[in-house]
Amino acid sequence: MMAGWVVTLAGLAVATAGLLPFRSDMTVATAALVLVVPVALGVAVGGFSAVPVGVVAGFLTFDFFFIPPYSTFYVTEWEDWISLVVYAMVGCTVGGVVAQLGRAQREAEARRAEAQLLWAERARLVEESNRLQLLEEVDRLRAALIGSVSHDLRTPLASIKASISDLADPGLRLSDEDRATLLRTTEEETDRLTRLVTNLLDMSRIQAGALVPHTSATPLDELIGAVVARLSAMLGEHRLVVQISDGLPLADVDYLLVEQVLSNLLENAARYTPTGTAVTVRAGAVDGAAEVEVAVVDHGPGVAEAERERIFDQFYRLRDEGREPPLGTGMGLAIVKGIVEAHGGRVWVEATPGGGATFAVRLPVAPESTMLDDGEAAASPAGAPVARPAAAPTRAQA
Amino acid sequence: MARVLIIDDEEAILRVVGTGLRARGYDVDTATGGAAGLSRAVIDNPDVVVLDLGLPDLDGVEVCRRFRLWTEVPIVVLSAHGTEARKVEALDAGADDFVTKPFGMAELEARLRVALRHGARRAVAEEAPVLEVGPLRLDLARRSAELRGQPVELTAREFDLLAFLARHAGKVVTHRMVLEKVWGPGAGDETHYLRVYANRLRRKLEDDPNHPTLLRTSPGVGYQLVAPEDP
Repeated sequence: MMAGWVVTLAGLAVATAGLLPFRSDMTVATAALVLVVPVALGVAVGGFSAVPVGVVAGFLTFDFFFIPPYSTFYVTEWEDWISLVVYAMVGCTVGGVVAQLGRAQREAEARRAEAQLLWAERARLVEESNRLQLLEEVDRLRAALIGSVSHDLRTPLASIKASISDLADPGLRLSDEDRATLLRTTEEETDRLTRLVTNLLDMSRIQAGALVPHTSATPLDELIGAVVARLSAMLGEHRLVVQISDGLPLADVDYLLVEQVLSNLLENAARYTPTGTAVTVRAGAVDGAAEVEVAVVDHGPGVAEAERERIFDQFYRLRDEGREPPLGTGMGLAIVKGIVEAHGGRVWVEATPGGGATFAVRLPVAPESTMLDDGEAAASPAGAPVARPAAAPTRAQA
Repeated sequence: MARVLIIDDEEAILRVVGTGLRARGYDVDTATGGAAGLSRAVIDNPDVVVLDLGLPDLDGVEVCRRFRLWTEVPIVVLSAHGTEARKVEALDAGADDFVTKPFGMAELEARLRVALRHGARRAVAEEAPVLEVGPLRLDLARRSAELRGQPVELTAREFDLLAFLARHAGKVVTHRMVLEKVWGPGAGDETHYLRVYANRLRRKLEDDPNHPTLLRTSPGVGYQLVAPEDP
């Protein structure tokens, strides 16, 4: 408000000083027009409150300096009265219009600022809500995981406990056949529980980055044979084919960990493909014998292209026609990936020609094994420098 | 001997529980899903159903509800530890009792015996003017109660509560079920009423109110009135 007054009065002083030398040569109307300008300026700066001050000051300045007789407030001519009155009216009108414009502009600015604030607030809320959604999603996943793991742990326990409680009941007369059924179930369910616990432990080691493979030159054909023999019961309803290329080099891997990789892949094949279909384990040298590739080829429903990356994510499970809870624990392939990558290898899934999924694993070749191609090494007893699986009875400590 | 239908998606459980119950003289049928179980029940007409709550095709609670649309066959639910809310849902949907996994076979069979004994009488109990549960005798018309032939003084509310429990003898009734039926709709969350009244009934009916044999508590779930000779 003060600023408006100051601008008006200063403007009037400047205009008056500028006009004074020429006042005898110009008309009263010119002086009046020039003196309206400071009023308008003052209002532009100070708003409505500057109108009365500006008009009164301008009126007096006009009268005092530019209406004869000069330097008095007397007005002698009636035209001068009209000039003064018109000046006052024009001053009021111009001041009013300018003030209005100023106010409209300020309001527009305020609205724009408000809109900007609202936008910022909205952006913040959107971000907040995204964050909450993410947290909820994480929570939901964690709950689903705990639910699924505890379900998977509890299910074999329920069978084991029910079965043992009967076997231990002295008052219950069980036939030999019943006894055998209960014992067999207990054994199977114990194996199942063991697999699950092993998976959980491996998973936590992988997550903690504590998985360090203790590698040695390993004959993969033997490893494959051992795994296939161990899982023959589980794969009993599938046709199992093993294809080992001639001259398969020794792989530089941790026997027990890679055994687990192959077990998990075969268990998956058994679980997700129809009984009676063939499951093929293939092994051979690739990339100029710099790497070995082991592949598990099935003829089941296959893995959709969009799922081929995510399928290796921890706890990701393929939906199976609304089966709830889904099959498996969602750990097998994540463990496969963790172990293979810890070896500096890689694993992926592709479509089997003619339908199905092929899980391929690339592993490094042992440096010594290349010497087997030399006449000298080949002449030594086969695999003599190689650590045999039987010589590694304990799990790699990581 | 009684006919049991076991509904569980776990082959191992079906095998073990089936073997155990057959060895105890039951006739056993099995089904690996809710839908299959419901249709088996129509054909086999079981005396009692053992139902796992975590079925792949139909929610176990929904299976209970569908059973109750056409049959009062006793249902003993198998549920996992720490899933009290699910048990309560199943009981509200019409299940009679539950066994928490992992369980011993003796425990499961005990629950089956209770369910079988009371299940057979329950159809009659709805209409009967006199209810008997072990040493307890309730005359619904005269609103009087006797314990081993001796009259027991009960307030109107105590009698209503006891009559409701006796009408559902052998079944685990949830807090909500009792509160809504005895105290009226809207009282479903006032479980402290129920604790107070259950304690009063025990002081009047039990030999040792701290170790009740007649009015049992299912912690976090509800109450079950059973004849003390029941296991």
